[in-house]
Amino acid sequence: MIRTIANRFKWNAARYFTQTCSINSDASLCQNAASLKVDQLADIKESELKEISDPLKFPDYFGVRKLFRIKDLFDARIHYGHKDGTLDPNMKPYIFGSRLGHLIFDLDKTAEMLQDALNFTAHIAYRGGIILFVSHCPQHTLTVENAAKQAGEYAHAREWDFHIFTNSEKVYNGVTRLPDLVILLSTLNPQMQEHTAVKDAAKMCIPTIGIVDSNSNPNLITYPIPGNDDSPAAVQLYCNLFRDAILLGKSKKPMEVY
Amino acid sequence: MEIILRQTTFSAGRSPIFRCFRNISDIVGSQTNKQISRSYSDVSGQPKSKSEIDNNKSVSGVENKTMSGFGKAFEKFSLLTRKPLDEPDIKFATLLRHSKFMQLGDPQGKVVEGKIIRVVGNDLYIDFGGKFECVCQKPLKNERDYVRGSRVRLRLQRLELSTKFLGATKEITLREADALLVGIVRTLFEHKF
Repeated sequence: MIRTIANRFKWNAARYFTQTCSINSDASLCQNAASLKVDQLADIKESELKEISDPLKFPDYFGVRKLFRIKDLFDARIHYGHKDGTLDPNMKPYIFGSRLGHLIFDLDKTAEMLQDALNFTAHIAYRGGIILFVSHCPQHTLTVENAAKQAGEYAHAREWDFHIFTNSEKVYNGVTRLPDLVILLSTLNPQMQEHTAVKDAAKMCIPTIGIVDSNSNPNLITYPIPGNDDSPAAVQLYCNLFRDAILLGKSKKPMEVY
Repeated sequence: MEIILRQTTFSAGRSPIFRCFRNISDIVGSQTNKQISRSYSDVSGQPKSKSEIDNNKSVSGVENKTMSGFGKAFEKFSLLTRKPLDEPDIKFATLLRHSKFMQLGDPQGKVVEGKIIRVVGNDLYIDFGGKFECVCQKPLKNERDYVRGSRVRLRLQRLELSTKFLGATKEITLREADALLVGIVRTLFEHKF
C-alpha cells in the first residue's frame, strides 16, 4: 500500500514538472507525450492500483473460468468413469450415478474443482514457480510432453525413479530445486497402483493437482479433479487447459519478483 | 438430438399459424431467433389467403415481408456460425440425458460405427466414442481397406473389460472395450483401378 502511494507522488510530480516548462522543442514534445501518459496513469482508480499490487485478493485474477465450458468437458468424455467393481469408496461424493454398471462423474463438481486447480496453476506460474507434469501412461506420453514444452515447463512421463524427490541430492549429485507444483495427468501407474509421485510430493510438501478416475484415491492430492484419465481426448483437453492456465499466469508480469 | 415443438398462435380469430423450432435454444434464446422463426411460419403447407398474409405482416411487426432466396439462406446460416459463448451454457444433466451413451442402454449386441486410430501388425485399435477403444483382428477379406482413419461398423459386447478374480475384493480392468468387427463403412484407402 505504501509503495502505491509513493508511485502516485512520483507521477504527480512528473506531471507538475512537465506543465511548468512548455517550450516548443523536440525534448518538450517528448515530455508532452510523456505527460499525456502520466495523466492517464494518474487517472487510474485506487481500486485498480490495488489489483495490480495483489492478485491473491481476487477469486479469478487470470480469468481461468473462461477457458472451458461444461459442454467442452462433456465432448472430451470426461464424465466417463470405470465400472462399479473398481470404484474407490473415496470417490463416491464425485459420482453422479451409475448407468448399467458404468459410473458417471458429476461434471458440475468437476468443473468447480477444475477451476480451482487452474487458478492455482496460473498463480504458481505468475510467481515463477517450476511446474512438473507427471504421467505414467505410455499412450499419453507424447501429449503430456508436448503440453509441457508449449507451456515452457517440465514433464516426467516415463518410469518414475523412486528417489527423485526424497533423495534428490544423491540422485543428481548436487543441491536441486524441486518443483513448486506437480500436475498428475493420471494418479495410477500401469500396474494400477498409486503413482509414487503422489506420496513423495506430499512428503516434500509440494502441492499436487491430480486427475482422479473412479478407481483412484484422491486423499493425498491437494487439488483433485475427478474425471476420466484414460481417453486420449480427455488427456488432450486437460493438457491444453493446464498449458493455457500457465501461459495466462506468465503473461501478466508481476510488479515484484518474490 | 433435435426436439421439434409446435406452438400455435391465434391471430384475430383466423386459422392458427404454426411455428417450428429447431432446438431448445430457440425457445430460450434471443431476439434474432424469434425473428427467424417468424419467417418460417406456416409450415402446415396450406394455401395462404390474402387476408392471412396481411395478418402475418401485422403479427411479425419487425419484418414487413417474409424473407426468400438469399435473405432466407443468410439468416439460416448466420445461426450456424454463431459463436459458442453467445449460447447459454447447457446443464450437465441435460447433456447426459440426451447423449448417445444413454440412448445406447445395454451395450451388448448394439451396432455402432467406429474409426480406426491405430494399426499395429494384424491388430486394429478402433475408437467408437466410448471411454476405451476396442482391439479387433484385421479380417482377411478386403485387408487393404483397414487403414488408420477408416470408418468401420462394430457390434459391441462390453464397454470395458473388467472382472473380479477369485478371492479379490476389487475388479481388475484391462482398460479396453470388447467388440466384434462387422464390416467397413468408408475406407481411406484409395483403390487404384
